Amino acid sequence: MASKLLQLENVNLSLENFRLSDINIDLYEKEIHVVMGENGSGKSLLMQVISGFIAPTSGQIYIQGKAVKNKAFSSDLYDDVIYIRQDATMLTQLSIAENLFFHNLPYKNKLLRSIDYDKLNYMCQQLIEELGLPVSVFDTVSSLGFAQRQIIEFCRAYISDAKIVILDEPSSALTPSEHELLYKIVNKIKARGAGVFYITHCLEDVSLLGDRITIIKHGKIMGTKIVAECPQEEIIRMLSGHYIKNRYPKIVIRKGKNIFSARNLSFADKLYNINLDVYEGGILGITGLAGSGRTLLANCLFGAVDNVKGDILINGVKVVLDSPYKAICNGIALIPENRLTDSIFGALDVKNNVAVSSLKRFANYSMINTTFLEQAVANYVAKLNIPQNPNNNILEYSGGNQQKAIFAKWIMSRAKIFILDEPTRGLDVASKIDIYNSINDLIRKKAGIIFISSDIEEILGICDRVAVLAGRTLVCNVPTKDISVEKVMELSTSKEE
Amino acid sequence: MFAIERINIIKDYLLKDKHVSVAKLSSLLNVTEVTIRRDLEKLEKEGFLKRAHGGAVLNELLDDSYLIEPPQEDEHTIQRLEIADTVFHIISDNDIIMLTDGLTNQQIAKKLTQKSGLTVLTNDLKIALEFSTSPGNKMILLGGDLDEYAVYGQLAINNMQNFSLSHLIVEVDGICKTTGITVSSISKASLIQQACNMAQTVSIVCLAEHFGEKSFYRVGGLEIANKIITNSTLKDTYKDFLFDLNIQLYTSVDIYEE
Repeated sequence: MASKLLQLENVNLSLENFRLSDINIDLYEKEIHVVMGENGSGKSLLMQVISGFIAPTSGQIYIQGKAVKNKAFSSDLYDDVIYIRQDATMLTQLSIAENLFFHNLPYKNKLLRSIDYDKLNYMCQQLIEELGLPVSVFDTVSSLGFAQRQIIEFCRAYISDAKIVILDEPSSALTPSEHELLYKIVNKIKARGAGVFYITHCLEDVSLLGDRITIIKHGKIMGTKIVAECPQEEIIRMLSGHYIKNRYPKIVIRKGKNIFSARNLSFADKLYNINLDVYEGGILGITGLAGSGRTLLANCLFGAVDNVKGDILINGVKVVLDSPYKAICNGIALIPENRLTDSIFGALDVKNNVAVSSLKRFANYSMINTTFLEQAVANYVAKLNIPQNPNNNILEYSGGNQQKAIFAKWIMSRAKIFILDEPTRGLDVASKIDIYNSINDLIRKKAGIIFISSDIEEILGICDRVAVLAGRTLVCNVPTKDISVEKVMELSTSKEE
Repeated sequence: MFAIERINIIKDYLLKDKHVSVAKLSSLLNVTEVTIRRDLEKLEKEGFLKRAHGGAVLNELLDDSYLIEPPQEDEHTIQRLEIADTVFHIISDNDIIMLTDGLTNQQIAKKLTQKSGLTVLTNDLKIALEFSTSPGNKMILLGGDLDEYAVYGQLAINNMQNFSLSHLIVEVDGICKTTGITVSSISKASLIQQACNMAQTVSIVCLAEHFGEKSFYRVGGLEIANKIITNSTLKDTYKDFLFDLNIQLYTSVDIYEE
């Protein structure tokens, strides 16, 4: 039997809004261990623990039977683990060869550190030929596309001496031929004796590559199986887990007229033929895997992307949304996925962040009546339970309170159509509940909502209808009561045909 | 600026200065005098102020507490109304429901008379009275030992067993992490326990400030509840706690304006 490279024993990690609990996972030599789970289930966090970026709160990690000290950037892990992330981190101005062998450069003279370029390029050429890569030694990384950069990163994992290789969603951005190449490289990594943690959303990867599979959900391991003995349905069932629909506070609203529709919306080669309708008092849920274009779709609907084809209708009338400003004027609000960069003004306090979309109402000959503005804002801030200390900088507030302030902003501006992109991701439970109940308040008063989330339970618990974005388009659009988590999961992992 | 924002500002102004002129408000708020007059009329109807020539004076007869909420025997009317509004939206037409006795449930009953096709069972006389003027819904009043405005006891329980409920709405006096759900009398506790056994869905109604409080008689653990409806001022620790118990937690947020 192959020897055990890595073992985690009862590892716990508590962060502000998330925890990994009782993680037991191991990795053998020459093994591809697939890790699956929804977005935000803790896969990447677990890998950061394994690679030593974050020290666990408790528990023990063993490498080849030897206990590792629980501290961040532990040197015990440094040489043994290589972690290839989704966002390739490369030195873009250097050549492929330099990037590949950066940690292991051949020197003409060790003392003077003069690099032996002939040898370097030769080594690289050998590798390119061995793997049949469609690149040249002398290309600089900046000339490569995203997928090619990733392939180079995989090669780096291949040539390194690390016993444990972590590939974080390596296949998500690749074309079929690049997929082939990825499989080839991964199998070579396996052949050189390393163990691979392979994070993916794609069930095909599991059956083609995986030796064992571990499913992780809400920071807990749901189970580890040997792939050969585990039918695909079993994996889907484990992925969806025991789900609880009824903990989301859903209210029953009689739906009103159609207030927002998209017809045949397409964008470049990313989105194709999207149709959707939002009604007064209705919540349309949209889910899909990371990279399926959910956020792009949200931006298209908000006029934040140029060259979108197709029509958008508000109250049945065609409108041209060529800028977010137009969208806002038409009563559309977007709560973007990335709070820090896309929706809050870091330099302003909570009060001004809330007020920013409603300033016009308080202006008198381009002078803002700050006294009245403050009174009005204070009212909204209090009603959403945002801690009263309105002069603090918004960055000092917790994520939950920041998100509630963003909510207050659009509520104050009286938007009618709310596009919420992952509104509760990474929030504490209390803020989530406040947001669900605020959504209830919105639909009770005839607003319409598009609720984008990767948490399928949440979608099924909150929304009236659910649409799944997969293979560039919405593959279904059905009432939430008629569909199960398993079915949604299956639809979102389906490939475009 | 929206009417509600404007009216709040006028109120604040009057509370400070006691009187104000239409012209002054018009220039302050940058709206026409007609709009201001309309706002003042509305506030006069509420009894907040008296209109005088060219302006308004604060209605001095009222003490300050009135200005925040109208005088009632019950200081929590606004909170109860908020809860009633939320409960209204979790009950569908044609449901068979039961409302136990209590002040919040009375407000809920008042609101529910706007629905149609409901069959409502209750042990509270005042709730029964609300529905007496609502021919679209069916009201069944339990019989039993009368205590103030509600009936309890073995008779009421026996009576109740003739029915099957789709939704039970219970008003309780305390919800606590350790003791669970509590009420103020033993006869009420046993009536609720029985009713819970007969209902498909159990909703617990409780004012936010009664969370963490204990009354003397225990109804049961929190797990008997499918839904809990309370005010938005509920403490965050309870939100965490209830979500982990897989209970649907509704807080009556009222912030958005159509």
